[in-house]
Amino acid sequence: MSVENAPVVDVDEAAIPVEKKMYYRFESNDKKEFRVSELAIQQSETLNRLVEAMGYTSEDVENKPAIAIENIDGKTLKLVFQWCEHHKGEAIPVDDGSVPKIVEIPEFDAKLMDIDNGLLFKLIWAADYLNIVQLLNVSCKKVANMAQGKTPAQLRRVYLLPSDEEDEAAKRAAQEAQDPRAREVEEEFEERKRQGGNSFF
Amino acid sequence: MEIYRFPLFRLQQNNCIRVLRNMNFLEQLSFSVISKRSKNLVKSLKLVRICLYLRLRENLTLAISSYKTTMRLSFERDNFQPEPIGQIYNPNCDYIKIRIRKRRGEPRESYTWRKEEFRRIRDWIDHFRDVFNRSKFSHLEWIYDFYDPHSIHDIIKGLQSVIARECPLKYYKRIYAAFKETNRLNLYLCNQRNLTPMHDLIIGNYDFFRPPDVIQNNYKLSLNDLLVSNSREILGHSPIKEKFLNKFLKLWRRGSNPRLQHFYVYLRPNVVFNIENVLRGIDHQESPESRRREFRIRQFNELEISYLTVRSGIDIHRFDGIHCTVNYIQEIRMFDMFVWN
Repeated sequence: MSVENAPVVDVDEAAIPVEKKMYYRFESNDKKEFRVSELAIQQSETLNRLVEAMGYTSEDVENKPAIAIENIDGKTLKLVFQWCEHHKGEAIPVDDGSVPKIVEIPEFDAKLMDIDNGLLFKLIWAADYLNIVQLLNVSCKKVANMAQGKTPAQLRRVYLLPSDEEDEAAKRAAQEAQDPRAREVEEEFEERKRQGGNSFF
Repeated sequence: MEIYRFPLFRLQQNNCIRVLRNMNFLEQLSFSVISKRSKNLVKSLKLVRICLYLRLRENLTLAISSYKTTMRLSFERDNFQPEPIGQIYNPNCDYIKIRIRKRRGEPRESYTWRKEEFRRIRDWIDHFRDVFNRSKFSHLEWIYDFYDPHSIHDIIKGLQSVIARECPLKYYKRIYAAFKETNRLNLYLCNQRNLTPMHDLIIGNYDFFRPPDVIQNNYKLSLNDLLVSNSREILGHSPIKEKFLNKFLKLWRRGSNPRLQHFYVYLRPNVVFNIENVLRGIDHQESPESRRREFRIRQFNELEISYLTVRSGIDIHRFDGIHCTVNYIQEIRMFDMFVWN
């Protein structure tokens, strides 16, 4: 029988026994839900360990509530999962921190990170929390690129860096906030010294 | 121009470092100048294979080399006047001019950096020494004789070696008087005719001594020059003959140049050289071809000590039992002598 003469049959694709991909459900802190493939999740060491530990079946994924990611909002999480889906199956770089790495930003990543700096900041925090090494590399590279051709004074403005005096003041304020009693004791000690006392006790 | 604003220090420390690692050398150094905290972050990168050296022409320049990039930081004055000779070098400088060539063949880029707290050259120099955890510079290359050496010495401390060239001989003595603690001497006595007072300079327990050579300076290295230098490492370029080396080795066996660790000399191409003539009258032993021995060497302009493996060679021993290995490498016409530690 030729191909042309063969009867046309509607095939129910769902009936074909193929290995079913598992999509996990995650929920951001502003209650937005995302479905992410198992392979994409492997880019995140944190999520990968989490789903392994949970040992969900396909039914569990559908029936149980979505896995909550409390620290990340929906807008940021969307970017993270878009990135993971695009780079799923890629090797995860080993980060030993010992040698300077040459990081190139691929076109997809450049478009994905064409965002305001507030969102970029959140993206880095999210990549760090979820331990996605390559996303950290490219997002930090994007931040590093802001330094190109800048003098120290320009860098200070670009990165909103405090001066030495501001750092000192912040340190003092943090100490005081941490232990107000210690500050009181110190003031009392100073006062006694001014009054000519030799011993605090 | 788009103005970026990114609160870098609100990132986790490891990600701040990750951002810094992704910057190029110039940007990292620029970042280090901003504050103590930014300096400490750059320090924590532990930038390796950095060479710091100074060059003095009309102005003082600090060169910082890393991998294939060399950055030159010039401490410039607008009113530079080369006269009178021996003027006091002004230690004040509230800005530096940066010159950097990022890739070979590309034109140099220039930047001017300022920092309110840095008013003197010394402030800048100390900053970069601290960033690279370097207590010493590799060397100062001294060209011309415009400045009083003592005023330069006040600005630079921890100098390990001095290359001086194109200065009158009288001026060298002032340089070395000012930099007495410098333990490495390298003389490029260009266009000098009267070199007889050179012994005053050579005498000293230097780590490295490179006498002037006959091609550039019309200077013939004498045996006396070698004997009085008492340096650890000596590199000669003069047309040294077999008889000269023979005498030198005999004197070494009797105890001359007790600090010597490495002596090497390049021979001129048209000079006939036979190692047998060098060894005449000296007890020696040829070591087997398979022998490999490592010797410590330190190149003149490098701070790090490296090791050189010497194959085979001829062993000679001194009266006190110390050995040395001599070699003649025909391909590069070099006579080499390593003293065993």
